[in-house]
Amino acid sequence: MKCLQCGIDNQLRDRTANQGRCKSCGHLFAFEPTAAKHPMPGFTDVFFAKLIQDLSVNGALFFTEKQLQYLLKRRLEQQVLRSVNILNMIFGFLMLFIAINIAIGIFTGNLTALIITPVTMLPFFAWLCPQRHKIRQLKLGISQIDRVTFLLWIQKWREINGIPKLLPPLRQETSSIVVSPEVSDYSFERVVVCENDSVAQLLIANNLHFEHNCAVISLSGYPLGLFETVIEMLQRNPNLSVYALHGATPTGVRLSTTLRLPKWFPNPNVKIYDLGLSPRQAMAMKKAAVKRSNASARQAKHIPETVRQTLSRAELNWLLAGNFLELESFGPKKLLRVVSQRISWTGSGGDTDAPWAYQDTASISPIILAGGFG
Amino acid sequence: MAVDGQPEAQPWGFIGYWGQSPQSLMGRRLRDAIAHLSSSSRLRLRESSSASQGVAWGVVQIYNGSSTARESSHRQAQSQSTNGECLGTLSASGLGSTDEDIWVRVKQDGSLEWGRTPFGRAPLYWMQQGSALWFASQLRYLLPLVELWDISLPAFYGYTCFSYVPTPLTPIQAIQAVPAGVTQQHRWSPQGELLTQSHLQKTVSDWSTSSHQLEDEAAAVDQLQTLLKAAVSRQLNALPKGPVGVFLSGGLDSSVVAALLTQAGVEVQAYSLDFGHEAATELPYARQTAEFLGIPLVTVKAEPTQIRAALAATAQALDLPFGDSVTVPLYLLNQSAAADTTVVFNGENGDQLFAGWTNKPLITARLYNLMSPEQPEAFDQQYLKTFHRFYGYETQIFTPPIQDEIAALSPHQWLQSALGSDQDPLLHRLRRATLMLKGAQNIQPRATQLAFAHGLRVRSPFCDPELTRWTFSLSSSLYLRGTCEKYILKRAAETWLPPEIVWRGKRGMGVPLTFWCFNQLWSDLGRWLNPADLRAEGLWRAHLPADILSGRLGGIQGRRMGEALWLLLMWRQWRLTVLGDASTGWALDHPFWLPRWFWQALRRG
Repeated sequence: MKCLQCGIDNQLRDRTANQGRCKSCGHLFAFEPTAAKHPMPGFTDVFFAKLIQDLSVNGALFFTEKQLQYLLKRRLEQQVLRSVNILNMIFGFLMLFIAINIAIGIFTGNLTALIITPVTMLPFFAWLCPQRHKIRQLKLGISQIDRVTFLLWIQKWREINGIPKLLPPLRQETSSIVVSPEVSDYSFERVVVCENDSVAQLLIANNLHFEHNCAVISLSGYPLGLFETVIEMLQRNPNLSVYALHGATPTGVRLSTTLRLPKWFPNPNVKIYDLGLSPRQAMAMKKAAVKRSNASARQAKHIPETVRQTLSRAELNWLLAGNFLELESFGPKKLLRVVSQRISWTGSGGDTDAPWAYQDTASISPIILAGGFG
Repeated sequence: MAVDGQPEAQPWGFIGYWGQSPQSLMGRRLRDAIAHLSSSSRLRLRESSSASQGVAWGVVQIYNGSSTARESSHRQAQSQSTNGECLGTLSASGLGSTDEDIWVRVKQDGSLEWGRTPFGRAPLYWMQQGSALWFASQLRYLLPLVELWDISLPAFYGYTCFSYVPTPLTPIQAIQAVPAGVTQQHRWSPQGELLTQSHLQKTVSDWSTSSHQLEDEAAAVDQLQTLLKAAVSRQLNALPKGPVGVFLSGGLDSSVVAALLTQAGVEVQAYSLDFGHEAATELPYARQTAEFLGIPLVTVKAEPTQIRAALAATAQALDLPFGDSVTVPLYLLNQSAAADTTVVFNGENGDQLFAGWTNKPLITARLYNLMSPEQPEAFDQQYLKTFHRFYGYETQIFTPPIQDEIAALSPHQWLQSALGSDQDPLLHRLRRATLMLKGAQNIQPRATQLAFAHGLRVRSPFCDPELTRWTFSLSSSLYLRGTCEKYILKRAAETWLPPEIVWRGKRGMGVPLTFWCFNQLWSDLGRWLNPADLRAEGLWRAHLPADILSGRLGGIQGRRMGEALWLLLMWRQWRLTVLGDASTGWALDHPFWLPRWFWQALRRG
């Protein structure tokens, strides 16, 4: 296992002899893959560092704990999937080899080909069976990585290596932050209202407000302390554009409707664009990290009739079955890119019902890609 | 002597020396330096010396146009130099002594003084070699005098942060730029050391909040209309016989200039850019303005074919590297105008004066600053981010040795003097900063360079000292009202232009660079930004172009990809055309020789 600090490879005996430290530089290893408790999968420091590097796009973007957890699970599942694919290939090859030998034996009457060769393959099958069992166990282990375990890993990693771009837990300020009138006198042309506080925190930390000159708030009143000021500023613009950003969840599908309530933006001149993920889109995504819970199923039962009418029967059933797909199952890069593209797209008069799925930069409209003049 | 109806021909540039070295030596070097100039330039040489002070000077003024006499020499009497002598001045507008942008003078006490006006419309460079100072209005005039030049890493780093090289730096270590709004005085000590004093001109000191802030909107509109008319009127001398050009973007500022020119009875021809059907063009608005004012409009195509053809010429015309995507389209605009006229007007500086839309993100950032997961950002840090270039991506764009060398540099140092005091109202601080940085170090000098390259004089009525001073006496609430930027200018212009032009939201004229890079210019990128050249230069990571377009630079996505790539491209073009670097070879370790769709398929796979 390579040391993150000096890059020197340390065998298990080196790590054991040095109490989990690098034999060369003494840097502490955060993870010991061989010490993972069955059926939990083991992974190396390099693996975990790569997760962070990829998620933050080489340290450029902030991300949430949940996003890291989603990526960790996805990468571990990919590793298992690779092993499954290799075992399936070996199995397929053996079966083909045996079938050819049996065919040769039948046509030629060669007993060696007919019986002995297939029998000699039995040890391979004997080896394969426990491997397949091990993989099933690993899959189980990955599905059992709970929040507590994950937070312990995070804490350990942070102590040893630090995670500068991991967003801190949401602050719970209750007192109002004083904003200078020279700022609060102005207004915004648009606002992104997020279903979750953590997504709002993520967008703000990654400067979406700066890039698109928009306010970013959440349904439950994030950022605390600034929320009232931002709402006052927004109400000063009668032609505001509101972007509802949500996952494919029971709360998410009703967000646009909620935002028409008197406490939000009842003015019909205010345009509300749904930037969120619909159950239809979630169902169409092959590798989506769809979750299922009883709580979500219970929430789905309370979706108002007006919102139900906007959903197909398949979508409603999908939600009623407790399925949901969170926005944080996407990394910050993808989330920011999709939100930015859709804000630009709707802002330039594009079709508001464009697919949510990520579009490659090369294939999107030049209107969105146009640079500023001067 | 009259040129194009002007009472007296104005120079287009100059180069000279002042110092204690033997005059014969400096004079010979001066002649060597000007030997590189185009044969179409007409040169006027003047030299003088003062035995009592042991100082000699010489200057060559450069004029456009053919002349049978390639060089006319004029030797001054010794007494003349001691009485104080103007060695060189330059006026971007061509209005001469009433509108000088740079000047170099030998004072009566024998010292040398030079300076630039605060709007920064013309650059001024200098360097010291032994006991001689060399000065010039173009960087390339001084280059032949530098035997072994080195790239200035601070200047290079500044360029990657801002898309222009911050003054007083230049990309060449040995050469410095005089900052806009600064006057410098030099003298030699008895020991032969150079003593230099710099001071900020009073005009720049006036760019701070006035103690009385005008709140009355009606009075402000009235005063502004008068000031705008006066500013345009001051730019109406020495006009050519035919029409003057106006660069009409379709935005408010250039439309106001066009309206005031037509009101003043000036014959006007408008020029506007057409980026093709793909771009979020503002051409319809330019057409509407031209139609409303009854002036002819020439549309200038700026599509990949034209961009490709004009790229190298633009880099050469700019003289310094300017990394904004708009430079080549502006070059094409000047090229087109030069066929019809010798004077062009533009609306540059309007955004800086009246708090255009670029200020809004900073107000938003100020509000959300308290939510920052890191330490709340300082104002200069927030301002730095408005440039949207490579700041913060140092480890991903520079080679490791360059990273080490720039580690101790902070780009904030190039912002400090412009950002002013915390005590000033936010909008006045932002306007001052933008005037001194984005205006004086980027927009204005590049506009002049591109115009001069085509023999055009450029006039910017918004670069008016009186008008600028007045804007600092106006309450912030008259600039940004709700979501409306430049509120007071819109109010002043609403009787001059159609309401759709005045009150529409800012859309911004777009150069669809990212789209072009992924499509029509895809294979050109492999030639312009070949890894072999980047490796040989040793500054950039060799695969940076592909990294940018792959989205590996985190926050640089969408249109920012094209802007980032363009900054890199203009640096390379500047090296090729101004420094005369040669391409070092051809490497294939880049994706641009592959069909773009194939590269994308590989990435997805």
